Amino acid sequence: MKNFIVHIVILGLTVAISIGFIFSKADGHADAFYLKFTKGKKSNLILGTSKAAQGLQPGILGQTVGKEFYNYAFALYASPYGKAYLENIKNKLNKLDTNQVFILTVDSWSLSSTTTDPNDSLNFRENKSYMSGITNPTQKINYSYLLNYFDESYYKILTKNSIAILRDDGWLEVTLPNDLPSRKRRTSFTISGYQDKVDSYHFSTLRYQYLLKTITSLKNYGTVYLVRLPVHPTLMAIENQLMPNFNTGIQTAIDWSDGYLDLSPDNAAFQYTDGVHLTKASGKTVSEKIGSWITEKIK
Amino acid sequence: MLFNSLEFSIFLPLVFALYWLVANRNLKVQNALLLLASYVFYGWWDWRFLSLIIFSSSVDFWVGINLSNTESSEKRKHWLWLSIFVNLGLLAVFKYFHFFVESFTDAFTFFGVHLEPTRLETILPVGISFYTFQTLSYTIDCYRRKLTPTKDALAFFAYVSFFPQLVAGPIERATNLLPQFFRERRFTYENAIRGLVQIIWGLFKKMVIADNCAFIVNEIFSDYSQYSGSTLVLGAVLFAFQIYGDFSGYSDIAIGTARLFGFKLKTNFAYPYFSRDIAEFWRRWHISLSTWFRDYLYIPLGGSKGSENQTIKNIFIIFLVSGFWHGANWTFVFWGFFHAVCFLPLVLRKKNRIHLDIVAENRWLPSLKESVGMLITFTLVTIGWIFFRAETMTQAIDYLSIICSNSLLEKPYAFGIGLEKILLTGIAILSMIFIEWLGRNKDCPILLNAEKPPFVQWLICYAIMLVIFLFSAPRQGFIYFQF
Repeated sequence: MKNFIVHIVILGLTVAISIGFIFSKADGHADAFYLKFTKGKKSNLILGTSKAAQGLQPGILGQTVGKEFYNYAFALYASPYGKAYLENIKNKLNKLDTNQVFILTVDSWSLSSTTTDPNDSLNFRENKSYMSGITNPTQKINYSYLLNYFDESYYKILTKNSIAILRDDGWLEVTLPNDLPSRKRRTSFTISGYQDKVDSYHFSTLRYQYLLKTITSLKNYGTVYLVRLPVHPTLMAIENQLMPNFNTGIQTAIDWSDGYLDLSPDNAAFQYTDGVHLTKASGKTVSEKIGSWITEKIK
Repeated sequence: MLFNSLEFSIFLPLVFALYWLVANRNLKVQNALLLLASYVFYGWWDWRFLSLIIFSSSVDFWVGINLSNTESSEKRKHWLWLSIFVNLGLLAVFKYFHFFVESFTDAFTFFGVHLEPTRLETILPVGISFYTFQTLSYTIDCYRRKLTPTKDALAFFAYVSFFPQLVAGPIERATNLLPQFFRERRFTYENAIRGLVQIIWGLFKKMVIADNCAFIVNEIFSDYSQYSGSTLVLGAVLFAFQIYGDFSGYSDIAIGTARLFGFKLKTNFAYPYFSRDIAEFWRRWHISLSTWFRDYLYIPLGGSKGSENQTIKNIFIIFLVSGFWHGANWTFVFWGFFHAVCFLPLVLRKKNRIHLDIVAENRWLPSLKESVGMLITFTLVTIGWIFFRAETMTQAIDYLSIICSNSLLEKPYAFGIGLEKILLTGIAILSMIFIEWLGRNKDCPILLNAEKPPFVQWLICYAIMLVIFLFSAPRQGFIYFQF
């Protein structure tokens, strides 16, 4: 009995040490979000869903505005506006700096909910995601995230994913084949997916209230700008089905912010990897555009 | 509580420590601890359904006592029927009620009469098909005087609810498991390590093989009409390995866990995909269920002793009932029918017992004839799995039609599933086949012979645990929980 217990404890410890070692190797190649929960407190946050995570490049914005931005945008299922996202932002935010610039990307999806009652906050999807579960988003090896929310096999930590790399500034750099047929195929798949799901989404006044709360909360630390990112025209039409008069619908948020830039009139001017997410080149252009606009505003 | 959950990884060492360090050498205390642990294990899922196990155990314990108190064959028969009625009644209400009602209303609709089906808001209690069959085996064996009814309620209740095999088998006969609750159980290093090795191998099959296959299979089956025949073949083959990894993995964990507590459960899977014909497959797949049906249904019906027509009828009965046992859906019934059709020619030609040995015993590789036999058997079994996995008969038939179309020759492709995932799953499956082929004469293929130094066995455990950690897919439930 004694021998068995000693041997099994040795086995357990060896496995635990190996797991710890593997976890210590997790970096921006591991998945699209992990690294964001391992960096310390951050200033000048870019907020929103995957459109912002992939589309807005902090390095480009930083060069234009003269601030060190950090992309703290995630995905639609985890970071629509709501209590979970706001609390998580508060835990990540560097509260010592009161001269920050915040970019909040807005669209119909991030103000909507899939729950039968769109204000049924107890059943919001993000409650079951890392957004709600990670209370310390600044832990170097974030065991809580890796054990509970890492949605891949752990061998991915050790391999170098070349398609999606999360950069140190929070930007999710996605490299996909950029030829027209590939983009068309992905876009048509995304369009069909969004057409299927649009009926299950409903505008949530509660989420909108949380957008307002996020604005007021962040205004204590600097200026807040709202941006509506461009998407493929067909997807914009679907988005408009969800909220036909988006800009008037968020008028209060626009009024409470320090400025609103709607890039949707230029939808056709940009390229998208799948209709929703900007390609790297278009993301760079959009980031420069937003940076110049903010610089003008600050002046 | 799932075997592949964090809760179980805390629960098992805790119960193990209490069992051997606190309750050691006191049989009553050990049995009481096992009973309590089993109820906690089951109640973790839904404590309200504990009442069903307690009820079923109480009825069968009481029936057993009454069987021992009477010599009248008439009365004994009544007691037996009471047990059968209660146990199958529970199954009928919780598992088959909706199926019967819907089939009944569908039949009327077919003839132009519309009936509004009555609905019962029932949830299928986990493991009900397993523990009701286990308790039934007790009363039937007592009735047949193969077993002396026990008067030890604690041991009997612990036997019915024994947590390692409570929710998904193996379905243990009272004649094998119950006496072990009366015998002193001693800890041995060799036994414990055998148990541990089998648990680890079971976890590998579940978390690396089954869960990775599930990821691809779910995508392909949920959107099967969008895919080519070749992709659907891939989906069916992967499902064959998913269900094998899932179910045999569960059995391995159950058998290994029981061994940690000094119990020996029966083998439930004996490398079924190395079978050379369907008859051999059924001697190697879900052995505890097929032998249950053989002993309590097929043989009482006359087995193959009667006329040819009688044998054909009995074979169809046993396979159809076996299919129906798996679920209240026509797809399962057809799955049973399909296997009966495949099995029948072997019985009629009296060739159903020609492969009783281990394939290619004492050889590295199978002969050409054995290889062809294994390939044909696997193909038939995989066709059967399409019906098993499909949600409706229409879906299964559509699925097969697409396989039989020209698109069978196209390159397999599943949207959202990268080549890397498919390759990784393929390598994992091939590794499992290779390891199981090398160890096909053993209960557990990674168990080394006693003469090998224990250090090597521990090293293998470490290596496989690391593989499980690195390559397991996001956690999925066990398929057989729904049965």
